[in-house]
Amino acid sequence: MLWKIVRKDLVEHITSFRFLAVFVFTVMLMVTSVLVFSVRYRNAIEEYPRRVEGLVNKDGKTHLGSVPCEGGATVRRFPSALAFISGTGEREFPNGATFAVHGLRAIWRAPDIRGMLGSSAQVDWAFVVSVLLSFAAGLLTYKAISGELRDGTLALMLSNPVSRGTVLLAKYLAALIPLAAALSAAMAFSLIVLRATGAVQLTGDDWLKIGFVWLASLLYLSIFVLIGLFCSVFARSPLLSAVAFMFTWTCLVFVVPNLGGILARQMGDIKTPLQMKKLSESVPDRFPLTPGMSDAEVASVKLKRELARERLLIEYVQSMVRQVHLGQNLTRISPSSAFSYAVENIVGGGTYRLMRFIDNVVRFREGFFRAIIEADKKDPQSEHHYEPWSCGSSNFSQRVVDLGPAKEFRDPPPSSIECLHVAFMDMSLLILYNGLLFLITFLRFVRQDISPVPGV
Amino acid sequence: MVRYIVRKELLVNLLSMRFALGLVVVALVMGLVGYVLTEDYVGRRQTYLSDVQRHQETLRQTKVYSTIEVAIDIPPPLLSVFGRGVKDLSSSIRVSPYHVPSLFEGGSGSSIHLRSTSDRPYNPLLRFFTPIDLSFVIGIILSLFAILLVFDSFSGERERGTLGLMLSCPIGRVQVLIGKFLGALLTMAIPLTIGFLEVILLWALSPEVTLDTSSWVGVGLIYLFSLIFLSGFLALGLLISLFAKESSSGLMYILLVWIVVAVVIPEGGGYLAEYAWPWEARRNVVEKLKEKEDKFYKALWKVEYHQKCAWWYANTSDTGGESLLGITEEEVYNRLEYNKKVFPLKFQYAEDRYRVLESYAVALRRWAGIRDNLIRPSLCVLYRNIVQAISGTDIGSYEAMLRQARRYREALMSYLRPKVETPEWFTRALEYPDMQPTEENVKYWMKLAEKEGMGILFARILNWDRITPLDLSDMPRPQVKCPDLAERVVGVTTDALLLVGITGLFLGLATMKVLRYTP
Repeated sequence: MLWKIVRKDLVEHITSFRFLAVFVFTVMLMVTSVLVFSVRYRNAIEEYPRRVEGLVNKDGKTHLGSVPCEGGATVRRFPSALAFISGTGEREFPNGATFAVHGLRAIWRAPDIRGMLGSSAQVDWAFVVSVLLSFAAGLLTYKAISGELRDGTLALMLSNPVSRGTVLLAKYLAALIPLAAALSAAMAFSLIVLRATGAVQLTGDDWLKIGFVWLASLLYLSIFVLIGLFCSVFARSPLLSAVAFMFTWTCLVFVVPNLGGILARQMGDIKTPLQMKKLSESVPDRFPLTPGMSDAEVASVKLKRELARERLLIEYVQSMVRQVHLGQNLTRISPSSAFSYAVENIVGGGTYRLMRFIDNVVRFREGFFRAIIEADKKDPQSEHHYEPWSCGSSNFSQRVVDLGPAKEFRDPPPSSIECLHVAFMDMSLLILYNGLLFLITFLRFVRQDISPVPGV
Repeated sequence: MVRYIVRKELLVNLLSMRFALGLVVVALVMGLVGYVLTEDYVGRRQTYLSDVQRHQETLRQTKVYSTIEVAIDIPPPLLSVFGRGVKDLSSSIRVSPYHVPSLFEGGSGSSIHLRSTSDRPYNPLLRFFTPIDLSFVIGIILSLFAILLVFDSFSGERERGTLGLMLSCPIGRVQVLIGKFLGALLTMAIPLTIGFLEVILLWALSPEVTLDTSSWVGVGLIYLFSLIFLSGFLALGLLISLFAKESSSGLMYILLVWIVVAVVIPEGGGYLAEYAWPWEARRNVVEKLKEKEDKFYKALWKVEYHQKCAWWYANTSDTGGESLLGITEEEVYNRLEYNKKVFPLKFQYAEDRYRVLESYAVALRRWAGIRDNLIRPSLCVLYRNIVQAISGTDIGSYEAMLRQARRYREALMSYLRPKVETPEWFTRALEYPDMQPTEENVKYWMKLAEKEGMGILFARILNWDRITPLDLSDMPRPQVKCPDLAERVVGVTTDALLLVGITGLFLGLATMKVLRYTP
């Protein structure tokens, strides 16, 4: 019996104009996002620096003596291969680091001309699913119950030996299946197009991430199908269901997610740049230089200072990340936000990626430092003191050497296991919302009076 | 007769649940957003005022002409609360002999480090959340509200059976349409007005906010265009209401159209334009800049220089100014001859770089034009452009200020060029003979250093703080300001006309449909 109802509604949905319109739109937008991504990605890869500016010259060699004074070495975050799925972090977060070999000095994002000449558009898959497909979910379900109630066919259907739960489940499946099919078809088609452009090689790990994005999208669409069903059950006429759905959808998809940033800004508690500057300037007090120290001891103290400053900078960034998380937590009540964060994290973007990048920079810096100390040890003319900001003397080796693998900066994206770890909370939230919504819809429907309301 | 319909519509709307709910949502969101943005404005204004002071102080303390750099600070416009405008624009334009201001002004970018002296909390990571302004609230939430009011104007009445009754009265169908339209418009004016009053109240309560005539006129214009924008959606809603078989599907259809107009076109159109992005031009720019750099350095190294004495405490730069403190008189005149040849090269280099960047800017503007035209068909985009222009936060105003800054630079250069031939261009050693490293002076300095360390030498003798600043009273000062309201509005005439035109189009289509309508 269940499948009879499902089949009836399914046919009605798939053959409706509105579903077709939404499907066509979805495919168009997803393919566009993939095409634009391919162009951007190709250019980003071409422009990605092949060597670490400031530390390695064109021939791949490093002048050891000038390293202690080099405070402007730069590296860039490696472009994300999945930015067509979710590109917020990619577009907005810092993607460069400036450092000296003895300590990180700045994290930045180069100003984007695109942003200056008008809004930088963002139509990634997460956007298409969270706005368009969620609306489609409502489109298919808003009169699932209330429409039948008004037409009088609900009573007829329930006079059959079928439970209310089954009817609800049938309506749910009849809406979710076409949506899932549309989503899968659109995703598959776009991925084929992506393959055809040849702009990016997706690894097995990437495919796993794409799979989880598909799963998260399904969970998200299921939530909105349930919201549509709830509106349909709750209101006595299709008109009221439509209005109720419209309110809910607007609040959840537009109002709540956008308020996050505003609230976080007001509520977060981070130090001002001036306070951080003062903290940085007070570092020498923690590591004082006493007269009578040997050169080696002076060098060591100055090194400790630089490392302490790096620690301060990283903590500063972490406090900023905490403020972002605060904003995210405030908006998680909307499934739209939970979904966006889930996808962002699965794809390996967002704040986790930023901190990962910083980790990679520090790791590289430390590796480079060890390598130059090793290379310096081999030079008998050096006194083997690395003193930050002091060079050109006999303290340190003046040779020009090739440091081998230590001179390569690697910034691989986090693995899918890690990403899932980070996305776990949001995925659980999506499942929770599903459960809650199904429960309240079911409870409401089970007790609903289904006698047709006259004249509505 | 139209009046009766208007009054009926107005009353029905005001007493409906959806109006009450919508009003609450609008009041809350506009209040919240208005409050936060006003605070943000106050903070930015304070930063601006302290920047102006800081820059003036720096200028006052200039010791040699070649290091003069004038920073033109741009005050944040109060109306940016309505239209944020483009991000990443620099809040100050740098003018110096070695730098011609262009669209690629350092920009605020976003940089996290431990050397900034700003006293306001700063978190560039918050860009993760879409920054919104009041035009976003009006463009999204109020337009949805408008739709909510009219989507069942005709279809609802037909379902209830009252449409036939109304049309049986001696009243033209067009008048019914106009009556409904005006009734809905008056209804929408209420939450809009309440929202605006909230913002004005917030401004009045904030002591740091001052409103001048041009701000008031601006607010009035934004209010007017908001009404026109909303009437566009009202007309669209009425049109679809005429077509819909039943109200509920009418609502869903109009929501779909709304998604296209408010979200898909503005975001998607811009995305499509990415395909036309001038990547080639950008790579050319990098190459050409390298070319100019090589040309400059080749010319620079051709000029020979034989240093006659050691410099004590010197700051030089290949492409910028220089300041030398401890040099002998003979060396001063030696360096002067060198500088007379070299600095014109540096000025030329600055102009060459600017020309290369400007050619890229031209390509970018062309791209922006394509993109803008792709997204223009959306009411929301037109509205946003208009609000930005009125607020003074659009790119056009910024470019106008850049042009003024460049004109100022020319005036500055005519003042500075003759100074290159004077010693004060790079040193004041002639006025402070005890800073010149003559034989006796150096002997004395070394004795001092032996006793108390080099530090005392730089603290007591070779110290820039001892030197009196230059008298810059006859230096031209910048007069850069945002183009005034009238100019800015004229710039968006096309958009305004399109906005009115599209609204008229929807009304016209609705009129045609209503005349052939069978209830």
